[in-house]
Amino acid sequence: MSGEQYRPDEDALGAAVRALREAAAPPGPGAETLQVVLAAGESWAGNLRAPQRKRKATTMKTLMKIAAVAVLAAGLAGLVYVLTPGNGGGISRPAFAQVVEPLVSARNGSFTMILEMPGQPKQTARTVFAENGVMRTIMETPAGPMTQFFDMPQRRMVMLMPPQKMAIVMEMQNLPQADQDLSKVNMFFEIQRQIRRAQQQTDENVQYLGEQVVEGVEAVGYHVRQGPMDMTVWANARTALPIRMEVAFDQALMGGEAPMSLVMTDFAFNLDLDPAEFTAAIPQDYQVSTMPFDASVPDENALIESFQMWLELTNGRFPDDLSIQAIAKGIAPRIAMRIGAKVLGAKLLGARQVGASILDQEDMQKIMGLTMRLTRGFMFVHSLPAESDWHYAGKGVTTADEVQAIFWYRPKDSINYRVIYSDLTVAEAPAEQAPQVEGAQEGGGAAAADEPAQPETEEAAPASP
Amino acid sequence: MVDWQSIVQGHRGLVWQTVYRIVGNWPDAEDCFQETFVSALEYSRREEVRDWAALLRWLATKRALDRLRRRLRQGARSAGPVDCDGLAGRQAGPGEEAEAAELAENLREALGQLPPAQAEAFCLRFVESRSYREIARQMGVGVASVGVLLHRARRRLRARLGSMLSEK
Repeated sequence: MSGEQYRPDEDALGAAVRALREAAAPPGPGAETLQVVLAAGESWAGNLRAPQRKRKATTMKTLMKIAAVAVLAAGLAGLVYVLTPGNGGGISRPAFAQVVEPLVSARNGSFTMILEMPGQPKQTARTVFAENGVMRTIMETPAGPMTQFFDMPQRRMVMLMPPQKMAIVMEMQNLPQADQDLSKVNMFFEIQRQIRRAQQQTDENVQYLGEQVVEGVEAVGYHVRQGPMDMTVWANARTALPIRMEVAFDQALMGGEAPMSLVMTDFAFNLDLDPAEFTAAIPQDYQVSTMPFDASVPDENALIESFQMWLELTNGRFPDDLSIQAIAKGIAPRIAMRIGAKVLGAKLLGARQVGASILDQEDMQKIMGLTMRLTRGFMFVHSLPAESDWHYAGKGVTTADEVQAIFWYRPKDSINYRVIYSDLTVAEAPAEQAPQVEGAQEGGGAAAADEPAQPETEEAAPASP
Repeated sequence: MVDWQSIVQGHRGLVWQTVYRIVGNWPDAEDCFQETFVSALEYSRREEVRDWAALLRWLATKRALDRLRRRLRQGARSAGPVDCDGLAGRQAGPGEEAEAAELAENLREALGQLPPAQAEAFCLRFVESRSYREIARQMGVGVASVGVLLHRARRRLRARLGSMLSEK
């Protein structure tokens, strides 16, 4: 298809596209570049063979559902991709043996993680993967150090708060059938297994960044795009060991504000670990709370439940937008308000220190439970594919207003839209009758304008932009 | 057995033109040219390639858009001066050439700010003149989704270009 004509009254976009199309390239590329490309094919000629079946990640998918681990797992998956030969855009990369050796042969590993969100204090944690499948993270909080154990073989997460002598144990429930057997899951083993698999696969979203000095060391860099996340990995140019990894989230996904970012540094492998430090054993003098963790895939019902909980916390006001950042910023103060009365009471009784130490086990359990249930439903929204064409129009809407559509989307393989109303009822609507609300937030967090109720077809669309 | 020499020689012009249009300068275009063919090689190891032209055009577009985004993250526009010789074929005056070059550069900047899927669909449709069906096949989405992506891309690009013009 070629030779499209532009309308005489083309706008700036049409003129710009025409300028781009007609900007003929100078003769190229250079002879050296061409030779490199030809040589690459010759060295691979013997390896071009019949297509191989793609293998899907299995157990790692389970870990993604745990909100606290989702970022970490995605970041590590990116590390797997970019440090595997065949990935990255350039010809000159660290040799295969150098790149794969430290990760594939490691018995365990550790790194420091720094999480930054605009308007929030920076959080730093030290994470260690042990050989028995347990991941331990120690995080400094205003209330003192907090230690989290992710014990996948036992399907549980344990959170220890030494200053308060409290422990919260979350047991995973409702695991999808495909993910039932976690008995042989060792998170670090799984990373190593993914590396070996990834040798046969490539990721089109991986870019080689070249070399530069990072933290005082000459490093090679790779950039990976995985969905809404941007990951940049810098590895020692000589040893290929990872030095620094940065993960940033799509600005649109964050509601148009500066993105949340995660930095991982100080990698170390094959540590001399004391097995006793990775048993997630709870000291006998701790107060223990046990709560279930729903590991099933969130669906529309989870979203409705999240809306319900939000309305209870806000006296009937819907969130302004559904970006991860906006929800995260909104959750903390609203949950704090729930337990605020206790803090206020302590003040009135003349408590010397009013702070996190006032919170007892019941408070912590409430916080954890509320946070998990609230975020679960909103994560459903962000797990929807681009084709779902979701919209959110709840900003400024309250339960006292006239009932109106606040969220709608098109489920996979459906031609109709599902519409959630401000009274939390749900109805289906054909595409041409899907709500049209000016200013509605779109899937991906785009600044919204009017959206056609029906996706345009090739026949109906203009030939020029 | 794949005849790599024939593939490269037969499609080098297509790939070069595609990447150069999007990135607008020689060094980036050379890098993207190389990356495109390497990606195609790797792709051919795991999938049978029935249409090398379509594959290379798609990969070239993706690589060039990735480079554009990276350049914008680093705060640069075009890496070099406008190549007015490249516009000679339009037989336009110097003033029109400069205006066209600026329009094209504005569009590059706006494309670099689009979500990747929207930018990719837009370039394949309006710069490379691919059909909805081909775009859907290469991007692994439904044809209806292509329409949605294009609608959003056009709206954002119009808004962005409008802002650029009003800033002058």
